[in-house]
Amino acid sequence: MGVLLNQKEGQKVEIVELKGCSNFISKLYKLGIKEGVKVNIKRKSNICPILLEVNGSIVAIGRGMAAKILVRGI
Amino acid sequence: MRELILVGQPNSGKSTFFNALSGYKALTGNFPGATVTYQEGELNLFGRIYKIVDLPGTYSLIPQDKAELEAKKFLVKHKDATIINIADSSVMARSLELTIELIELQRPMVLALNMIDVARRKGIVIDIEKLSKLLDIPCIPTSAKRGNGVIDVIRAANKNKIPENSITLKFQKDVEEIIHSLAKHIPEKAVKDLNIPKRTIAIRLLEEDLYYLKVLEKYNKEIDLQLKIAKEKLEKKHGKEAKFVIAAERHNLAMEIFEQVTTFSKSEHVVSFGEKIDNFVLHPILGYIILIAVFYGLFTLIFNTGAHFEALILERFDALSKLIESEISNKMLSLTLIGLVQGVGGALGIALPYIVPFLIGLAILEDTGYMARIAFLADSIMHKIGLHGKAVVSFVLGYGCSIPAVMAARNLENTRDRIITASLSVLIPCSARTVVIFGLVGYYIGKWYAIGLYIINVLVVGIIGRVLTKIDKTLAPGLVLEIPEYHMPVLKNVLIKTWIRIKDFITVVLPLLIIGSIIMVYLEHYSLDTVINSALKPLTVFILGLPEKVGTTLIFGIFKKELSLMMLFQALGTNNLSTVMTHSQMFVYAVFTLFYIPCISTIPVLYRETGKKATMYVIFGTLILATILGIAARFVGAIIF
Repeated sequence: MGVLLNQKEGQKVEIVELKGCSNFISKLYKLGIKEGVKVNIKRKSNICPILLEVNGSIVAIGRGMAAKILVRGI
Repeated sequence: MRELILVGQPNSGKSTFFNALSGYKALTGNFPGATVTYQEGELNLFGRIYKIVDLPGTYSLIPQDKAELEAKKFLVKHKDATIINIADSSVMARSLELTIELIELQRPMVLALNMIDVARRKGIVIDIEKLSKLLDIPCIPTSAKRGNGVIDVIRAANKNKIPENSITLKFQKDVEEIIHSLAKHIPEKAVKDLNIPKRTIAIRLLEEDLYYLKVLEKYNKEIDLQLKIAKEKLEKKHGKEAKFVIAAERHNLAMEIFEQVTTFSKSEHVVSFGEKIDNFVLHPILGYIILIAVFYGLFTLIFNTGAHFEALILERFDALSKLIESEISNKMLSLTLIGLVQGVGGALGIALPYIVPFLIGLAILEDTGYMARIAFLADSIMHKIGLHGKAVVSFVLGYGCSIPAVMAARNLENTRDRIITASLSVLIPCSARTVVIFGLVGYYIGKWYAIGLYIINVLVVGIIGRVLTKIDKTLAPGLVLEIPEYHMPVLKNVLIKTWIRIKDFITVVLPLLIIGSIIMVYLEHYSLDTVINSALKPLTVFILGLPEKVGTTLIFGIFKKELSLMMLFQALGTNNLSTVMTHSQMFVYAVFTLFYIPCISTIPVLYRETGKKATMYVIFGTLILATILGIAARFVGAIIF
């Protein structure tokens, strides 16, 4: 368990908790990033946002936001 | 006349669908939220006339940004229209959430399963018949890009099928019970006026949809109390805010339907061609090199095409002005005509040759899906300014023209980011200011000084951005952006999109250019420029150390920036500026023109997008900024030249 920002590229994780204001949560919900959803970490580097595969679509998440998403490895 | 409303998530191919149908005006784009305002068209099919409306793409009907609110209002108000829900079949699970929200409205509806070919390529097989049964609406597979299935969608829309038997679309029992108990308190009149079922209104209230909360206020104040009770019940039982309980329920429902109707023909994940490209394009080092190469290529292309047409067109208009001067004896008529010709010539000869190729290039960047990738790459840099990746679109546009740059700021979710981005984008040297930079600094002082000005500009924009974001500390959520699949741009879509943007330029800018040019001709003729020059003397001569005669050129620079340079030759009465201005003065002049007041065509757009207060700040702020930087340039100039 840890935040999304600290995970490795290529890992498959399950979203456990979204820590942030309700505006932040709504934004993620709309793109299908919700508690219990399994995502693939497609791309992660030291500068760019994190690239996730969520139910077939590719979503970029800013690093600041990725630090507020709690995930569990599967 | 039947009204059809296209509703779909960003990147679902909605605008392409619209273009495929009507060949009318519609913006299509692969950058989320490219359709900033809704587009309308008329369609004559099998002898029937349809009015067809393309709403801005929206992930959900619970509005979060300006574009989504627009879509929502329009949809609720047009009670008799048939909804055509365009869904991206390759991301069905998520698309279905919006579909469920639409079904909740209980209006006539059709679901177009768009990009069905992309889904097939990905190995997703959809049981369309079963889906149609579950949702109780016609579901039609389409590929709008190829024009497949679009007519079938319209045929299906004629059925006016209301999804009343979509009984499968129920949430968990306890959630339904709470919704039901709240629904009982919703007044009949509200249900009738909104033409939306009670259950749906109750759901929207629980989701804190401001639109419904406001409407309901009129009828029954008691509803507030009931809503509070219902919310508390939900929150207690599920351990999260009521709106997220509902969202999660809808998500589960969508997943359930998705699993029932889809099978995967390919069990193993195959790396697609797009993913292979992304290995380079989104690479943390290579990606930036490609980015620079793309822009270098784009700008080279723009300048080469622009310069070619500029010379060609200006020649004709110059000849025309000379002809008028010699042939028409009536002074008044001849002056007005010369002003008119110069205004139109300026637009056709200077602005359009650079702007048209730029807009075409931009449309291609958007339609291929590269624009979203630029936002991805720029996110970390934008964070240093205090904004996020999506803001970069405005800055990129700014190098072409400030007007589309300011308009593109609409794509940002919150007001603070929108205002700051729009204000900063006017500081980016547009193609008109490029004329000044290259024509003055580049030509007379040297190419590297011109490039240096661009670098200084980026630094200044960064610093100002940092300061502005520090002043307004509203916590801005970071980047969450869908990265669409790559698409081959469709020529028709690119051209339609370019045309719409050019039309904006012509209707807003052209009249101002003509009026400005006419005024200028008169001022010159009656030698009123000396009055302006002496009025501006404190700024031009004392503060900036420039020749007195540059005063008018700065005023006309507000009308259109490239005019300041052209007027400079006229005002100083020479073809070789180096005989009347020192290098240091040229440098100061260029710095000042680069940063001062946005042009008169940008101001109304800025006003519309950001409001009166922000516009005033921008006008006076840029004037102060330009003066300060002008003084700095004077000192630096004294040392280096």
